[in-house]
Order: sequence, then structure tokens, then C-alpha cells
Amino acid sequence: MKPDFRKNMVWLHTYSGLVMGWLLFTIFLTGTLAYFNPEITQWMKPELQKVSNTANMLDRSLDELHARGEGASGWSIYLPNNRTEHWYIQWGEGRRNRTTLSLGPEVKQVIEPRESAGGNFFRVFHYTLQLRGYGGRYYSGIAAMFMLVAVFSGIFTHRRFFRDFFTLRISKLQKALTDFHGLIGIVTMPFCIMICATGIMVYVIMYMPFSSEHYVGTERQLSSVLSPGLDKLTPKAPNSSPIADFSEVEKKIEMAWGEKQIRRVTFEQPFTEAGRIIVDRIKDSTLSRQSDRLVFSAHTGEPLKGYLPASTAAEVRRVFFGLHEAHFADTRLRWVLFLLGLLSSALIASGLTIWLVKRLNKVRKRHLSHFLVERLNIAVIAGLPLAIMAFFLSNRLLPVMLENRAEIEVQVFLWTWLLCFLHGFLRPARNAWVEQLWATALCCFLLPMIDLMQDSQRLLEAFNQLNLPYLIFTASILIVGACFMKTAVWLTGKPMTNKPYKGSDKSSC
Amino acid sequence: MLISIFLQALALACLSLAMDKHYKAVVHGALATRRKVALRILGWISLLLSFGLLVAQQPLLGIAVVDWLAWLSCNILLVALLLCWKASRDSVTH
Repeated sequence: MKPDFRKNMVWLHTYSGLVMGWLLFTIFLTGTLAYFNPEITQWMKPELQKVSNTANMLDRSLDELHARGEGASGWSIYLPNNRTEHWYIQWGEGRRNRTTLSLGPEVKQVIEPRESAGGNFFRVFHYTLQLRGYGGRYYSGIAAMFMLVAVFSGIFTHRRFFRDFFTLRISKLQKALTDFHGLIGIVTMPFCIMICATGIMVYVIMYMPFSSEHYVGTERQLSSVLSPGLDKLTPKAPNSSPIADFSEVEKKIEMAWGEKQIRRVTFEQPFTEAGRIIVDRIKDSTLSRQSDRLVFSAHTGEPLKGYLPASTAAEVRRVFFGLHEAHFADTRLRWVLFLLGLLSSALIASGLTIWLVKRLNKVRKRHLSHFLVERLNIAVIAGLPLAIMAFFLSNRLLPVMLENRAEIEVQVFLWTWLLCFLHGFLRPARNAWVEQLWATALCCFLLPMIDLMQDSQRLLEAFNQLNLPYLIFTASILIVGACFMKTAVWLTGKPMTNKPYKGSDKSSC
Repeated sequence: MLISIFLQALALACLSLAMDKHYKAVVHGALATRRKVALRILGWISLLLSFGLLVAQQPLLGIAVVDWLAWLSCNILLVALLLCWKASRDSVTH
């Protein structure tokens, strides 16, 4: 018996896609949102004001640190850039035990933004799945591997797509779905391969622990061998004080990099003789995740020996990591990547739907697996956007001074999603689809209204200051709401059969 | 930048028209071999040109490649949607 290669590939494509599809959809959708991490945070913390045009930001930060961070073992200054207006300083001991203070445009002005998980929630969720310490990062790594398998086996499954390039037939639903799946598959193939391969590379040391055990001992040691840091500083009694005027150092930085290139300034052991300043450049002009760094003495401001070049392996990993996070992308490219992320999510969603539609068209009696796939499709494809909207709504509706506010926002997200699962399992399929889509659309329309009712000045100010993240976020939410409404209406208008239909979010086809 | 992206879309449109199926759907006639070759050549040349333009404008080659590939994906989708729209409009009028 000769094994049939293509048949095997079809099987592999079908089941690798099916088993991991829901997880992949979740990871892709939240990961896509993470492209706009600082912008979403900007919206979720409306107290932040436009600060990027403030003069003397470094000296003002330094004054505040001198006044508040006396004797601390570490200081940091985070400057705003063209993506975020969050300007803040930190001081304290070690990495964990730190105090954060956000600064405003007026002299001595301190801003207290509300506590919120912000856009960073999506970034962290898309690889830890809120299961850090319980194997979350392994699950997402496995999912990425499955995605690669699905993409490659998909080439053989939809083998006609070179002959059918640019083809989309919309006469029949199943044909339209299959064409859509094939077309989006080839359109997003470079993107999917890039995202999955680079995603695996991010935690490659963790996924392959044997190599680090073999060569050096622990995973952390392997990282430090591959990309050497600076010499370790030993904490000593405070006997020196850090510079009070940053302008000299700033001049040297501008000589090397040009203006407005500083992303972060870190002081290590500022009160000891050996204390140093590490300056990180913004990531606009490099594919690598690690931007350029300069090192100065903390109490004279003289340049010190910088970082040793990392090994090739570490450099490759950094570029992969940088490609995954796309910090280099300007607004235009970022939107294109965002669109590709959404298309990839739609690719996964349409694949899951095809599996079901194809089988339900053939069978007379339903199997338990059909029921399960149908309900999980609802809970994930329609439920996840609803949970995300609930997360945004909670940001506006929870009391501002609530304790553990950021954590409660995440709880709202998770509980809403659980409710979507229950709802999807308890209602008839069609109703569940339509109701969840309508709920999402409703949330999308409610969100800007609630925002406006809470503080009508916000929108006016955003217009005056041309606060683009805020305005575009609001507009996008309304557009997304309209899309969901259209899909819900379209689903309601479909002739009533026992077969569920789903248009995978793209109502155009 | 915009010129390069537009050129890329144009290139893909040419390449799609060089396929019998799509040519028939758009022009309602058979595709002559000479025209097919001409469309192919035009398509590939504009595709290369759009890449060259983007590389010339972007100081970092890596970013230019990412940029060009990202737009390539979007433009393929755009051309496919346009062809789909054209076909559905024709099926209504006929």
C-alpha cells in the first residue's frame, strides 16, 4: 500500500487546524491588538496628557528623582515618544520594589493615571494566556508550531491556489468560505510564517532547555553567555551623588544619535562611585529588539565602556524578536501589519467554520463532535471579541480609585468569556451567534457614548491636542461595531435551516 | 512611498490579467498570447520597480523588505476583491 502524500497532508491540515484552531484564534486576535499596545494604554488611561512637546524633560525628571529617590539603588526615566504620551520615572531597590511617578507638562506637575491593565494585557495574554507559571508559554509555543504545520500542509491541501490565484467566488457559501480561506491563506502566508517562527524564537531557550543544561547549566546563564551584560555592580554604602544636570550627557547622546532618540535612561547604583547611566535608544531605526545603548558614569557624566557585542546567535534571536514585535514599524506599516493580523485571525476562523459546514452538509445525524465544534466556534469566534469589549467597558465603568483595578479588569474579561461559553452551549446555535454578535456591536456603540457622558471634555481636548491614538481608537471601535452589526443582521436574514452559517467577520464576502 | 505601493498594485493587476480566467472575466474576450506575454513582462517589471523604489526610500534594507512584503499581501487581496466585485457586478447585469 502506497501512502498517499496529499491525503495525509489534507488530514494533517484538517486536524492540526482543528485541534489548535481556537487557541490560535485567541492568540492571533489578542496578539494583533498588541501591535497597538501603547496606543491602547493611552486610551485606557485618559488622564495622560500630551507631554511629548515639553522642554527639558530629562532635567525635570532628574530633579524629581533627586528630590524623591534619595539613596535608591536604581532610577529610571521613561520618555514619551511618537507612540505614547506616558512620561514617568521610577526609583527603588531591585526590579520589583519600585515606585512609579507620572509627570505632566507643567513644571512640578504630577499626573495620576488610573490603574489599568492597559494594552499590555493583550501583549502578555497572547503568549502566557494568563497562565504564567502553569505552562502558558509552552501552550502558545506548541500552538505556534501547529500553525506552521497547518500553513505548510495547507499548501498541499489547497493546491489549486496557484492556478486560482486572485480568485474569490461568492455564489455559494461553502465555496465562498473555501475560496476565502485559500485566498487569505496565501495572502497571509508570509506573515503567518514570520509570526509563528519568530514567536517560537522568543522563548527558544525555554522550549529547548537541554541545550542550556548541556552547555552552561541554566537557561538564564545561557542568555548571559550569549549576550553579555555589563560588569556586575556590588551595592556599597552611598558615598557619591549622581549628576544633577543632564545637559552635558544629552549633548554627547545627540552627537552620537541625533535629536529625540532617547527612549529610556537608567541609573544603576546612582549613589556609589561606580554608578552608571545606561541610555536606550528608541527602536524606530532597527529591526532588532535591542536598540543601541550608551553608558556613562553616574556622577561625572563621562562615557564608559559600553556593551560587548552579542554573539551571532543572540543577534539573530534579537532580530527575530524585533520582527515579531515590530517596534520599527511606523504608523502606516503598523496598520498594515495589524490588518494582516486580523486577516490571519479570519483565516483561522474561516478554517474552523469550513470544517463544520462541510460535515454538517453531509451528515444526516449529528455527532457529539459536531456539537462541540459548533459551540466552541461560537464561544471563541464571537465570544472573544465580546470579552475584549467587556474589558474595555470595565476600564471606563469601574470606580477609578478601586483597589487592584487592573486585575479586576482582567477578571471581567475572563468571566465574560466564560459566560459566552455557557451561553454558546445553552442556546440554539443560530441564536447564540446572533446574540453574541449583537452584544459585541452594542458594546462597541456604548463604549464611546459612556466615554462621552463621563467626561465630555475628553473628546474636545483630544480634538484640540490632536490626540490621534484616542480619536482613532474611538473611530475604530465604531467601525468594528458596525461590522459586527452587519454580520449579525446578515446571519439573521439567512434562510432558516438546521445548518449554522458564519461569515467569519468579513461581511464583504 | 505611495507611488511604490500603487505600482505594486498595478503590477499585480497586470499579472492577474495575464491569466486567461481573469482576463476573460474582465475583458470578455480571449487572451492573445502576445498580449499575455506583454502583460506578464509589464507586471514583473513594475513589481521589481516598486521594490527598487521602496528600497531607495528606506535607509534600512530589512525594514524595506518587511514593508514591501506586507503591502504585497494587502495588494493581492485588493486585486482579488476587485476581480470578485467585477465578476459579481457582471453576473447581476447579464
